[in-house]
Amino acid sequence: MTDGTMNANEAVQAAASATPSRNRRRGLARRGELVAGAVLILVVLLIAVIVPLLEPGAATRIDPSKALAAPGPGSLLGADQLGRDLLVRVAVGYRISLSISLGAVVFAVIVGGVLGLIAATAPRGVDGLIMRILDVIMSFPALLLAIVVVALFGPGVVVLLFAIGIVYVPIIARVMRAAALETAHLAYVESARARGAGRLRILFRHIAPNSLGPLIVQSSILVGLGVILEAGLSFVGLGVQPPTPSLGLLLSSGRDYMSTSPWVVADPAVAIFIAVLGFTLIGDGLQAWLDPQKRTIGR
Amino acid sequence: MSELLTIDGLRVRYAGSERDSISDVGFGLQAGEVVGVVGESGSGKTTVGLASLGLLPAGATVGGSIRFDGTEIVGAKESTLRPLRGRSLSTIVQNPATALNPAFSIGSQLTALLRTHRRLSKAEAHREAVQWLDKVGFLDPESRMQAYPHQLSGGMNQRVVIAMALSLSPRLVIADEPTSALDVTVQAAILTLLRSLIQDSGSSMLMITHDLGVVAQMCSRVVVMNAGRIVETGTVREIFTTPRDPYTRNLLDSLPGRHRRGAAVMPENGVTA
Repeated sequence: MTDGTMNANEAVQAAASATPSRNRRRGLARRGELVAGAVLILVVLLIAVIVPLLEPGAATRIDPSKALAAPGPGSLLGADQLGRDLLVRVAVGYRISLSISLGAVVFAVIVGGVLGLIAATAPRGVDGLIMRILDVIMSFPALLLAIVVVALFGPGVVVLLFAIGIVYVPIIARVMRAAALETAHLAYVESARARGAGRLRILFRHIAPNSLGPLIVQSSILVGLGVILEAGLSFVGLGVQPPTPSLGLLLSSGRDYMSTSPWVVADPAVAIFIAVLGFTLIGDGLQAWLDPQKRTIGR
Repeated sequence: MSELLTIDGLRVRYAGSERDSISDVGFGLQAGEVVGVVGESGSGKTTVGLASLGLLPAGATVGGSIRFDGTEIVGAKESTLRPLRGRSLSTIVQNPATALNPAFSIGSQLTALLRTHRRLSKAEAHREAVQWLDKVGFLDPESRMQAYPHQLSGGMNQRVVIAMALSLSPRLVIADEPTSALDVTVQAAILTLLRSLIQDSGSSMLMITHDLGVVAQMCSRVVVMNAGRIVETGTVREIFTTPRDPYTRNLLDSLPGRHRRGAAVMPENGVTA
């Protein structure tokens, strides 16, 4: 018996090590994406956490003598039209933007995840009802839907969080439903049913934990997208209100000085770019990592 | 002895199918008895097992009757079936690789099962789970409790599945091809284990298999199925020594080492394993 198992394991290992090198290079490239994304996000988080601590109050301190100062030794990223240090403002902007974006995704994962799970395992009628309602929400362009929510409840950080969250709910629900449908047909779910497991136990212990891969990937990408949505809404004045700096607000208030002092706009723009790139890379890398079939077979 | 499971005139048609998957299937199983259901792929033997558990997919039309211990299974509500499943009616499935939840350690799956059905304390459930792993042949059960299904071989996983199936001392175990996904040496070990555990516990078993060798080793009576119908029923001795139906005879002839010298039962280039 023990001999039999050892041999089986060895055979599997032998098969694994015989994977063509092309696939292994692919695997490494994927891991590279994950690492690069993680490094970018780590840098972003470090900036967001540490920089505002170095000089408390600097984000909103007006200093006319430094108005529109170019990037240099005194202020690494330059200063805006009111002489506020842009590095500090970008760092605080990261705090606000990422909080909104992460909060929106958490909200969507809780609401959309549960809806998707229910839809995947409920009778056809319930499934149809849930998904059609979500389809209606999804049929609105993301920005328009978020604008509607903000228009209803007024601008502000919390409203913005839920506005973006609502945009994400149907996306998450669909991903969750698809993954759960696949998992629900696996033998161990059926076995659990045969052992008398209840509906909730099957949903949350057998289906949900084994359907999380695609959800994690989607969430990571949506966090990046949330930064853009937040920036867009704040840019048109429907998001975070001044003087609180958010990345979108920085872009918006700097646009009048773009031709003479490009850094006022370039700083927040590059900041958005780095954050979005980081989350997207993590999402792509995770997808490859969590999906062993894609990892070894390649496309 | 009274009949534990009585199947009568069972007929199943899956959704979207033009014909009945099984029709007019009927046989009984006494308490403490091991009955084999044999037949080739597509003969409907698995459907019989699923129907007995009340686990046919939604949309399947079922006729006839399956009585388990006085409870009618056909058309029963989920709320009637759930208390039966696991506790008095249990199952061992074919592929151990997919029968266990990959997200949890085998120990936690075993303890969760014991706790939900028997309301044991954490420590009691743990102790009993370790005992079961020991019983099904784990050499180091305490440390193996933390192992995940992917860290174990197919044979070891099937031992866990068997432990889960028998840990609640069910009255009837429905085993659907419990050893078909395993290689031959492991198969023999698992069958020996299964037989001794079933004997110890006094449970009955419905053994669904395509393998007459398994039947000979495990069962007292056999139901032979072909194309959704029962072609022959009898004790293992009757079936093996004096098969009445030509299909049964063909099935027996397909066993390696059984056919007469020179008799062509398979093409020369047929499957040799």
